[in-house]
Order: sequence, then structure tokens, then C-alpha cells
Amino acid sequence: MSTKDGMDSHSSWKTTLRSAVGFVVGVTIIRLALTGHHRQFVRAGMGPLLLIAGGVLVLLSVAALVVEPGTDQADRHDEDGPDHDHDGGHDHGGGHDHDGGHDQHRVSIGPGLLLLLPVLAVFLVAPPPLGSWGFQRVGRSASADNYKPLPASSRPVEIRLREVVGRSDAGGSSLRGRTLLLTGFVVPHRQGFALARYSIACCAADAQGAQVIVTGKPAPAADTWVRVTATYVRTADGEPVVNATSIETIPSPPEPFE
Amino acid sequence: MTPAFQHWTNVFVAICVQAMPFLVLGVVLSGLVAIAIPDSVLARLPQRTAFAVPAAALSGALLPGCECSSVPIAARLTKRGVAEPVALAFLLAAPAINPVVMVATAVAFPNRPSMVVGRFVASALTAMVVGWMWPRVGVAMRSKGTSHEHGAGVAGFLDATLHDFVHAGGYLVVGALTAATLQTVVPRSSLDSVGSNALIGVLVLAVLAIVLSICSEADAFVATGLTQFSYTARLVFLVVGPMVDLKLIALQAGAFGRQFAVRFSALTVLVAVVVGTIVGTVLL
Repeated sequence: MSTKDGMDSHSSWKTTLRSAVGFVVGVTIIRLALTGHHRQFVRAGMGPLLLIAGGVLVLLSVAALVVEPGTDQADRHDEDGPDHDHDGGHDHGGGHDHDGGHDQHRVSIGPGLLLLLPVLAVFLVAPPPLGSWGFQRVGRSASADNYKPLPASSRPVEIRLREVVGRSDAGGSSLRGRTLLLTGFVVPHRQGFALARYSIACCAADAQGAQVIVTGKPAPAADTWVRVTATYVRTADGEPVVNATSIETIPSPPEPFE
Repeated sequence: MTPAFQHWTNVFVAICVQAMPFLVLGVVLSGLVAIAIPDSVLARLPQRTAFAVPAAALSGALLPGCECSSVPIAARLTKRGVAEPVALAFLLAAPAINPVVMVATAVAFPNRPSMVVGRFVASALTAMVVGWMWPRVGVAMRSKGTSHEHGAGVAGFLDATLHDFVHAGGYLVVGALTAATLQTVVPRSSLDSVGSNALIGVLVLAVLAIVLSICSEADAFVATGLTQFSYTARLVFLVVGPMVDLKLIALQAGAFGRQFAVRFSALTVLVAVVVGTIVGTVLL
């Protein structure tokens, strides 16, 4: 490792800034995982991975500050870099080629600050979970073809909305005459209202929706989370219709996806 | 705060949070490549692209991560002198054919094991073909021109890793912003009317894969719900998605330069659509 004269204040504050960004992002995902808030955005099972990633980021950010002098010397090699690839007009990054490594670092910290945007979005915007607004815009939840028979009992069966849709797609015979216990948010619908829930494979970007049409009770306000006791009536236009006997308003669940 | 903005925020934050563990894994492995693999080992890698490209593509099966991991690793490999076509074949193949993705595909298509085979074959072939073609049609990477060594030992590892994370993370955010905006503005349900024509279906799902920017571990579950499209079109969706999407283009622009990212992604989409359509027609 070659050593030139001492520390460069430029590099120094950039390392500090990078450490700060890494630290803030790390703390944010640790917090999301510890509070369970991450379940609003990604699947619940991501919790441990987020804790590990957050921990690595925090350690890395702190350690990079502590060992900064060595880092700074290493950066001096940058000056050698631009000569490697001077083979002509292909290179779009022409401006960068003449700048030397420190400028590359100066260029690179700008985009890095964008990492603070999702942090701000989580804490300042703090949006409620995905709701009725986007429901008609996402795809329909995929359903399995072969569900086991529901437990043979006259008591209400707790069942996921996507499973109701799946059984309805299969003809609905396994639902006939059964009393169901359903949880979801309210989506306005031309017949009464629909009870809806998103499901995800990884994160809210791949969300798909399942909905069950509810009749027999007045529609609560859109996006209200409710627990409905209802009897399966029929499948109309490809959608299961249930007749509600009771509706209970509940707070939005910590894990909005099913 | 309008509901549309809340929806947008959810999707934006979700893409960022989902990507974080995989980006951290990628930059940590990339940091290890920077300090822990001696030059003598890299020098012993096969140099002839005819053999090295398929080997690199298939070794992508060993990295169980999403696409966010493979960009920093491929960038580091090229900085250490690994031939570009080799590193790029790895970059394309790793998120597409690793075991986690294969299992997810099998779970999403329980009655169609040929989908898993088709995905593996078409993705590996696409990675190889792009690797072989790139020296003829590609542009130089910017990163080579401005590469900076981070020195040896712990200090070098820390600096390289933190720098890679913050830099790549910034570009990831750009990709997430774009993907969340398009998801919010263009309803996915608007696809319902175009699925019937076979060729248009293939092209529409290729574009959808680019726009949605979802993880390679999740895309099979979305594909299984796109029942209005042919299996071949859905295979193309699964082949394109892990190799080209908005967050990947952004990550590559950060790592290799904008012109590189655009040309490389265009070539990859072209090859993926052709290979995916052929494999789908034969297998599905």
C-alpha cells in the first residue's frame, strides 16, 4: 500500500457521510424488523434477514469511521485508475476519465443520499397499508386447485379470502351452506360491498388481491378493517358472494397481507 | 395525503426494504472478492469465453439471492480483471437460475414442472448468448475507467463494502422510485385485453417484467396469476424479469455507466424474448 501525504479532508467527510447514510438505513431496517412494522411492506419471514442486514450495515458504518485513516491511504490508488481503459470513443463516461478517483467519490455520494428517501417515507409519510385505492389495479390472487375439505362442523370456519376465491373458482361446492369467518378491508362494490385482502410473495410490489362480495349488511366506509361472519351464497361473475350475519370493526392488523 | 400517494409510498418503500438484505449480501460478497481472492486464483479462471461463459452462467446457480446481489459482485469481478463476458453471464444467470428461484417456480406452478425446466434452460441459454455476443456489440464499462482500489486488509474491505452499498443503494432507490410510479400510474388490470394474441402477449409480458421490477423469487407467483396469457408468454416474463428491470437498469447504470446499462439491457431483452419464445414453444 503506497502512502502519500496525510489525510484528505474531502475523503474524510465523504467517508463520514457514507457512514451516516449506512447507519441511518441500518437502524431503520432494524427498527422495522423489531417492531414488526416490516410486515406492512414485505413478508413476515423477512424479519431475521432484515435484522442481520441492518446489523451488518450499522457495524460496517461504525467500523469504517474507526479505521478511516487506512481507508484514506488506499483511496490514493485512484489516480492510477483512469488510465486503464483509454481505448477510444466508446467510453461514455468521458468526463469521469479525466477526473481522477477523488472526483469519482465526489460524484458517487450524490446518488447515495437518495437512500434517505425511503427512510423519510417510512417515518414522515408513514402510509397506512395498501388499501382499496389500488385494489382494482393489481392482479387477482392466484389460487390453488386442490383444497382439503373444510372441517366438518357447524361452527363458523376461519378462512382466508384467497382460499374462498379459490374454492369458488373450483365451483364453490365445498363452501355451500358453510358459515365463514372472514377478515379484510372494505372496498366499495355495486352490490353492497366487497371484503378484500392482498397477498404477497416477497413485497408489496408483487401484491395481488382477493375479494368476496358481501350482502345483507350496510357497507362500512371504504378501507375500514372488519371481521365478518357470513354464509356462502353463490358465485356470480366469477366472484364469491356471501350473506353477512355480523360485522365487527377491527383495527388494521399488524400483518395486512394473507 | 391522497390514497394514490399512499399506495405509491407503500410500493416504493416495499421495493427498497425487500432489496436491502440482498444488496447487503451482494456488497459484502463483493468486498470479500476484493480482498480475499488472490490474483493467482482469478488468473487461473478459464480465459476463453467459449468455455468460460457457460461455466460462469451455470455457477450463477450457486448464489441464492435476488438480482440486487449480483450487480455489485459482477462489478467487483470485472475490476479484478475477470473477462467482461464471463462476469456478465454470471450477473444474468445468478438471480434467474439459483435454487431458491427454481423452488419458488415449482411451488407457483405445481402442475407444470416443465415451467421450472423451461425457466432454467431459457435463462441459462440467454445468459450464455448475451455473454458470447457482448464483445461484438457491447460498449465499454465506465467503472474500469474510474476504478478505485480500496487497499488490502480490513480497512480496504470496510471502505469497499460501505462505498458499494451507499452507491448501489442510491441507484436502487432511483429504480424503486420509477417502478413504484409506473405501478401506480399504469393499472396491471389494463393488460386483460391484450393477452389473446400470442406474439403481442409475449411482448407485453416482457415489458411488464421490466416495469414491475419484482424479485426473481416472487415473479413466478405473479406469473401464475397471469392466466390470460400463454405459458410461453409467462416463461418470457420469468426469463426477462431477473435479468432486466427498472431497478437493475438503475443499479447497472451506477456500477457500469448509463450507456452500458442501456445497451446491455436492450441486448438482454432481445435475446431473452427470442430464447424464451423458442424454449417455451418447444417445451410448454
